[in-house]
Amino acid sequence: MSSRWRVILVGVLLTAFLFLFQGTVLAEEAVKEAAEKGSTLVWWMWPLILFVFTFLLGILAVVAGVGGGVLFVPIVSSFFPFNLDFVRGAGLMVALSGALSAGPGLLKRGLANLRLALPMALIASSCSILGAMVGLALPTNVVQTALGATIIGIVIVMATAKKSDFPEVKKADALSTALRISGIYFEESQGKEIEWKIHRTPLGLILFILIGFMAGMFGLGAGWANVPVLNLLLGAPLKISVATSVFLLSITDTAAAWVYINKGAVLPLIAVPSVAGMMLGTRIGVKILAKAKPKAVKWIVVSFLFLAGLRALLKGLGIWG
Amino acid sequence: MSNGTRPSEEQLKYASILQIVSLSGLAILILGFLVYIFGVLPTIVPVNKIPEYWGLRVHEFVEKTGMPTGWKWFVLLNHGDMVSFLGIALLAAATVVCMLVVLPLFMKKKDTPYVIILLIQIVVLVLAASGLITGGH
Repeated sequence: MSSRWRVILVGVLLTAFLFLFQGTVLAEEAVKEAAEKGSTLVWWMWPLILFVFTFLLGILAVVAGVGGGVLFVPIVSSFFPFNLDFVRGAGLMVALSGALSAGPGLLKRGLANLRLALPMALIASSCSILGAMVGLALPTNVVQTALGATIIGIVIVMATAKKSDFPEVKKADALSTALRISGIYFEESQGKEIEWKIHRTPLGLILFILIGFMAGMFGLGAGWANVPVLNLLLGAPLKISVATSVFLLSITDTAAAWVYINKGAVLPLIAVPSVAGMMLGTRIGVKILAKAKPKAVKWIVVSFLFLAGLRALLKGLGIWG
Repeated sequence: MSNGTRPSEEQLKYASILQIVSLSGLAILILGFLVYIFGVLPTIVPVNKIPEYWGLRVHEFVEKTGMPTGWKWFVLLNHGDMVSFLGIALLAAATVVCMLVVLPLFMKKKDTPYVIILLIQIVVLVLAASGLITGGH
């Protein structure tokens, strides 16, 4: 990495973290003030702050290789004065817009696979509706506690899950054979075509029940769970798993998003700046990533995610905030 | 791209439709939001009042502001805050539109398992969109 890019990255990171911590103080004060005498901030400052915040979050998400959707809900709910219902509604829209934007390119290049995604998506999306309904019905502190515990679990998965570029699948299982789930793609790093098939499909489908439920309940993107299941359990190559996971989100999150929209939990004033900021940030992040790939950034972001999870857990239990 | 690596006809069709619908959705989302925040149209809830209520749970928010739920926003599109929902709804409807377009291709190929999967998926998404499934308060 050139020193110029190192300086830019450190600058972006420092700005992001200063902003995030400043956001905590600002948000807490604003909530207190709003409760007592109404917010002193001009209304348009909030969408602007949210836009800048999610823009930085988008950059960090790409550079760190962590999904923006999974960062959005715990971090925004910790540092902004919005009710968790609206943060989850916006979180689903953020994850959905990202998946919808990336989906066409991944499908056209043959990296995301429609036949692999559709059966998994049917299970995940049905369960995400259930998750959304449960999430909106439960008391906030219960959802916050569960969110905190889930985020800490996600951090553990991120820190420990291994990845396999080309998992060995000796024999496709009966279900995937019947559904003709297999494919060939061109692996640029090796300059050759790679054939792939999957196994353990029934077990994978069972796990998508849980993944879908959690995506709907917490408004999180589920790439952190989709990829290990598709790659390590089902045996799809890593590139196919990552791309199919992104495409899968476009279906899973759609179902849950409708529940939030119909309940009134998608507030344009929160959702639109978040979607715009995150999308712009991820585009800039991709450009930074092409020049530099610092591993340390991932661990800084994952640590921050852990802190946000811990804060959500303690907040839910009434210990902090 | 060789014949072996070329995605299926259904996959390519799905991708093309998804691209058109999602890009239109994003454009309308941003335009609708600009109409909203610049006060081009009257609003159901004044935009400067929203921060007073966004700390409430959604059912309390709806109760206090009178913000419409379900599809009621559709008949109130002459309001700035409702115009933003057009883009949101289009993004959320993109998947079902793509599925409706590729369904006949699967039917033509007599790919029965995927026809069934798609039909169930469309029903699930339409039910979610209809507002018949909501739960909560």
